[in-house]
Amino acid sequence: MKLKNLEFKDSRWIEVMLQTIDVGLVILNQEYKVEVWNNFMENHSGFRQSEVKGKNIFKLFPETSEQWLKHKAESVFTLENRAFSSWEQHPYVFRFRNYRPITGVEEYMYQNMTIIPITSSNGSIDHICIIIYDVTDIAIHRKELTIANAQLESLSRIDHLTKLNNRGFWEQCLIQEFDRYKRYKNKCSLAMFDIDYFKNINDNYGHHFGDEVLQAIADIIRETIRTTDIAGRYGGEEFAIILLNDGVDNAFMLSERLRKNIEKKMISTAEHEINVTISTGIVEFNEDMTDYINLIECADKALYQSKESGRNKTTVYVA
Amino acid sequence: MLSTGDLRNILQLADKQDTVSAVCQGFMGNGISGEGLLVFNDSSITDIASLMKYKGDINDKTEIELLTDITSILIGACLKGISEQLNIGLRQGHPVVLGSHRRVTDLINTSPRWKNTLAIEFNYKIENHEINCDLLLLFTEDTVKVLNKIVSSLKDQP
Repeated sequence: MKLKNLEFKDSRWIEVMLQTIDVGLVILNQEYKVEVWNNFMENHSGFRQSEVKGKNIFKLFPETSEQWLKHKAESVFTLENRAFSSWEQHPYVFRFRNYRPITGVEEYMYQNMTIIPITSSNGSIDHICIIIYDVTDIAIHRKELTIANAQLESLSRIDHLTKLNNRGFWEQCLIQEFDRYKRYKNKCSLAMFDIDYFKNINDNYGHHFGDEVLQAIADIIRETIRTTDIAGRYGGEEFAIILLNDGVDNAFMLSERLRKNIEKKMISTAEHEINVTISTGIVEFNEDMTDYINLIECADKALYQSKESGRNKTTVYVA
Repeated sequence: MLSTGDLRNILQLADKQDTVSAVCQGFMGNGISGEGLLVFNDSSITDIASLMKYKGDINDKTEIELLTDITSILIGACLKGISEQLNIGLRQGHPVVLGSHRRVTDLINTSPRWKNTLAIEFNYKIENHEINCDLLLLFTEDTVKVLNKIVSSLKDQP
């Protein structure tokens, strides 16, 4: 007798726990009709247990994809294993409106779902239990994190491959130096160069080797320039250096040193070994320049002349 | 036995190669816990879809879902076999797609809290389908003791 009481008490306790737990519990039969659901489901759907008993789940929730849920559930019925769904692929199983007017910023509740098989007394699977987890907070945090990461990425200054300044940051520096020049008239020069026949390197030796060439060039730049120079990767195989307080003569000297250092450096990996050369264009900041884009255009023109006249050269822009 | 270095190599492969995907799924029951890792090598997603009898469009989201579904089934089947043999109940948790749900580099860079652990490896090839995957069941260190106890008690039985 005592044992029976205890069992009764136990099952009462379990029922209270299942009713109050902040997780949705639904038991469905093979016809997808509701047998049981707990308080969580009542509260969020607005349907009481008595209203839903024996009703088809897809009639109750027309927004739930029948094909999708049945596909999941059928594997549970036939294979007796568990099935899962994540909010990242399916934001919700049952569309429950956001229930927090102040802190709830999402339109609906994000849900993870687990479906478990329920074995009957004869050993077959005639029911399944759908467990719904409210993961709205996790989804909000994850989304915020994704946005924050994207912002950080755009703010970042370093080119991933060469570890030089990336184009965005380098251009910011150029704008700043150009404005400074307009104001204080300090000498300043810009050198832009690109690797000769880089496309052939990629085509003949593969992009991976091409990347190694870019990294090797970046190393030589770092070894050659002075601490006050600002070097960046401008484009694919194009690099640019801002030479602070330098007139065109100094800029030419440094560019030539860099050109020679690159020319004599044997770039080798386990598979290949090659020499590369660069063509450079230099321009000194002057009064006629309207903006920084103007500067880049002039350096580009000089670079083009280096290319035209046989490559592996440094050309100074002349207006 | 599997070392942390071995695991790192497997994860690195999944990280570096586009053709390799990996899905993890934790399991536990009766004092035993661990994680299953399913590594798909050059498996065709359309073949997985046809095997799973999935008829809709295949995009990034459905691809991940197909991977998690097939993982739950394969790991589930393995665990069921082990559960029946050892007479214990092992339950699976939510599957995690590496590279999508979790960044693989983070997993590689944080060293696990174990050095060597018990691992069981299976290789699946599905006939007439371009599906080739390795299933690795890793048990936690504490679990190995519990497993030994269960196995020896089974051996003692007449």
